Amino acid sequence: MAVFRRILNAFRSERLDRELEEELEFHRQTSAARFQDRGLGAAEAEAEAKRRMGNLLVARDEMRDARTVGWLASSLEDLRHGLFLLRRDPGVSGLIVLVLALGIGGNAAVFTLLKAAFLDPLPYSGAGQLVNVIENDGWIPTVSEFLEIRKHTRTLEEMAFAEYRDMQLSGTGEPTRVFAARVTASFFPLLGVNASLGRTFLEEENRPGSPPVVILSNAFWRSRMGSDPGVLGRTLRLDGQPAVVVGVLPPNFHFDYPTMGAPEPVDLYAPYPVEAPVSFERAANGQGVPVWVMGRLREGVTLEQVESDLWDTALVLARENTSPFPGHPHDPAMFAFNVMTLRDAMVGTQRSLLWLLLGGVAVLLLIACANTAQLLLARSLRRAREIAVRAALGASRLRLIRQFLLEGLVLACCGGAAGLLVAGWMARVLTSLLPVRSPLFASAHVDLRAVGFTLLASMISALVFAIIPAVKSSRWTPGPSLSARVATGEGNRWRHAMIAIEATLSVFLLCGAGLVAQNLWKLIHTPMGFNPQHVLAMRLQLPFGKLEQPDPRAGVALQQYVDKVEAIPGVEAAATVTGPPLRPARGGGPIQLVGMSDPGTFGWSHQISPDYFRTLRIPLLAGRTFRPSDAGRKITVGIVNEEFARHFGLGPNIVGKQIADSEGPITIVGLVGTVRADRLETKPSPECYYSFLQISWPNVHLLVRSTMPTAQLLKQVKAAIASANPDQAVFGVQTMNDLIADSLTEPRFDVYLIGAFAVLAVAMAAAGMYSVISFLVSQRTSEIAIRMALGASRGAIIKEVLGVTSLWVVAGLAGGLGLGLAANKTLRSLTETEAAGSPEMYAAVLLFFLVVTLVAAYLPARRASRLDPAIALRCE
Amino acid sequence: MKDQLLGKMDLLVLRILACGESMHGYAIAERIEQISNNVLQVGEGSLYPALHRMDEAGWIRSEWSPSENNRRARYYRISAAGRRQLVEEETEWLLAAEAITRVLRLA
Repeated sequence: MAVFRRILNAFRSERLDRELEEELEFHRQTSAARFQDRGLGAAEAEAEAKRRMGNLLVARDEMRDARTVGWLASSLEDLRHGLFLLRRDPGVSGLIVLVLALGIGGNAAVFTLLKAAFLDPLPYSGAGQLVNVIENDGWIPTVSEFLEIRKHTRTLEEMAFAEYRDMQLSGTGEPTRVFAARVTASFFPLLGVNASLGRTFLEEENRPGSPPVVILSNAFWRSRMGSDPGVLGRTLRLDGQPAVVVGVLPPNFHFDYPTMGAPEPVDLYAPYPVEAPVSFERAANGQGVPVWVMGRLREGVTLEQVESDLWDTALVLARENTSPFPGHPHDPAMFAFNVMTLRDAMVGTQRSLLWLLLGGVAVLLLIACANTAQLLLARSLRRAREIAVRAALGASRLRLIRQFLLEGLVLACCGGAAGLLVAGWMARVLTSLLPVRSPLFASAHVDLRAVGFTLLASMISALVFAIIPAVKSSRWTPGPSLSARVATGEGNRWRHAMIAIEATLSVFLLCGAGLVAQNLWKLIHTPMGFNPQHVLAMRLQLPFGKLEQPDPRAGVALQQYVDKVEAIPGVEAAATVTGPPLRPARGGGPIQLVGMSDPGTFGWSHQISPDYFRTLRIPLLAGRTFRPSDAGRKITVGIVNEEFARHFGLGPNIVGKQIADSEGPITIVGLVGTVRADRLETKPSPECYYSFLQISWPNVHLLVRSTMPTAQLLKQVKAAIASANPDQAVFGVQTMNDLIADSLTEPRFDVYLIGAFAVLAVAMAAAGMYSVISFLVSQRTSEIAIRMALGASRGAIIKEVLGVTSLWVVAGLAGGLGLGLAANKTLRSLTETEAAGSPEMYAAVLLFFLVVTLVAAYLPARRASRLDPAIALRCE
Repeated sequence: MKDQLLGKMDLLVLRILACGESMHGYAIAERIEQISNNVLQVGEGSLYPALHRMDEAGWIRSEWSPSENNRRARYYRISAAGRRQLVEEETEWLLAAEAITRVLRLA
């Protein structure tokens, strides 16, 4: 109790003092009144009372000490003193607070992102028990695999899957595309969400042939249905089929993470028609429909237990399914599945982005701290006399150190508070700049934990930047400190060390920026194997019911579109393809050649129309391209790429060889050049092309080569397609060049991000160097003047001024380079960079930093060399 | 004899307050001086720190109330803990005083 009051008293010292004074004043007046009673005059009585009491300075201190917690009261006193000093120097203080606000605010912003990714509760009930099932090699299971897992699992109590696709909404004006998820009935109960209007799906609605129903997302209901409460029971035409609206989801529900297969927000949900798969074999080969499988862990089950449970399933599947290649039984690894928590799956590859951001802002804060330490060191030197006076009056060294640390804390807390104000905003800006959509990051917000983190960051940075000036400046020597002339050379080692640290950190960031820039450069200049000029790409989704299976009707329907488009005057060539360059292929699987002992390889497959190679100008190296006669219900011919031939050790001779397939051999009729098929970063892989008249998916890209202006061409293409089928929506229109630019978004973002960090770091380091060299010059003005008076040349002065500093900068450079090389591997894995840094890049980084250093050093050095010795010495 | 009562200030103040009245600082000092026939002079420089210390220690309680000349004064009153402390210090003092008296007489 009493202790609390004493702590409280420390914060209300004014009131305490007032009471002390009042009490003593009362004593004095009573005393004076008594003297008057004894016959003294009023003035004499007053004087006598005063004389008797004396000035009681020590007593007042003793009373104060009795009433408060001593160290706290003196700390507050120091704090007040510190605030006064900071106000006296508003320019420097403001600068420090600004730099710290940026540094701490940046860290707080990244912390809110990290918090959103790893700490904030997910908006699903029991989210901690939810897992995502994936395949061993980063693939996701197919529907048939989902069914097998659900049949065999002993560790997951409820399972669901989602599959995302474009669908066509027609019947109201121009057919439009909507983004849909097709899910099992268990999907909504698994996530613990109820419809806000109507109901979620019923078990029987997953059966094929049951009347089609649809559930609307809240956003879709609001924007497209005008929030109509009577929407239930209305019929929408989806992919040409009528579907009845049975529910509307609550506004806060969304499950559309780009890391989990949903590149954009989901407009509506439909039940997935789960039927017995055509062949489990084909599904396992990657030809089934991949779906995002989720499950809920049984009580007390660990992830390891689930994985071993799934491995048992894989062993069963490998035994039960016969291999298409006689003598090569299935490797159970082919059926192996992994699990990860739902949260891990959601964060996914965006994790590396977070670490990159965190690393960047942390380094920036360190540099900001180093700069602040510089400024405080410079200021403490100007305060050397004040310190010496305080020390002479009995302030202990510890008390002086505390004084400096408290001043640092005041600065850091001001910076932290300002940083906290902008942290939420910075987090939003960062999220909007990200190359990927991230609902997880979008939910980032500043809360109590963020405030706690900011406070902690502020205190740590205060300790970091104030400790050196504190220890340094509290060490005083009575003689020189009290005399008017300030001792020179003191603290210069620390000043230089700080420069070296700043140089190290900024060169480190520059190395990173150089690395990703080099990578981007390399990607841009990677030969693509095709000519993207004057090619317009768009997407088509045939309005067929069963989109998960290759449909023989698809090729025929697409042939109609291609014919109509090619008939447009000014169109040079047009073709459809399931996966154009830089967009993922639709299928693939193990490939073996008939009659070769080679164990085979993994190959991607594409289904194309005959003019595909002509449209993209991919060179035909041997054999022929497809003809309209390459049609039928079975794949009989294929065209392979150069990489494919290279893998089997064959050149043009590959033409005529046969690919083994469970439905009969496929003859290779042509060899084409290799294109960068997936992303620009990936190495070329073996690929096969099949005729779309033999196997075709209803979801394709249409490529049109023409020199016509894009808008005009698109209008004509849309008209041509509409003349073949008025229900056909065209979407995802992009020029091939834009598509290439899109695939560079992430590497380009890495360059911007790390580049921005590096530029900020270099700017701060340069400012630090400028201030230190200026300081050193002003410190040595008289010495330089004497040297000049004695005949030293300008060059000699500049050399003298920059000599030691440049040594430290070089040490920092070497350190930064070492750090950059050491972190090379980490950075490359974080940014998926293939290019290793070349010596030229590192040389360029060093050169750049040296130039910046020279610019920063030039002005103060020149000032030193232009000194007029007569004036300088007179000023002393 | 201003300084001699250093160290025994607590004892004297507690003893005066033990009469039960609540008193302000000046009155306490005056009472000590009167009773000791002006032998013991109470210095303000030691009286007030002692009062504040004892107040914080919980031996006495303080309270602002109007005084005889209509100004606000801080009045002190002894607490139960103060009475226990008084007994302890009194016993200690009497023992010491007796011992010193014996030494002076018999040595």
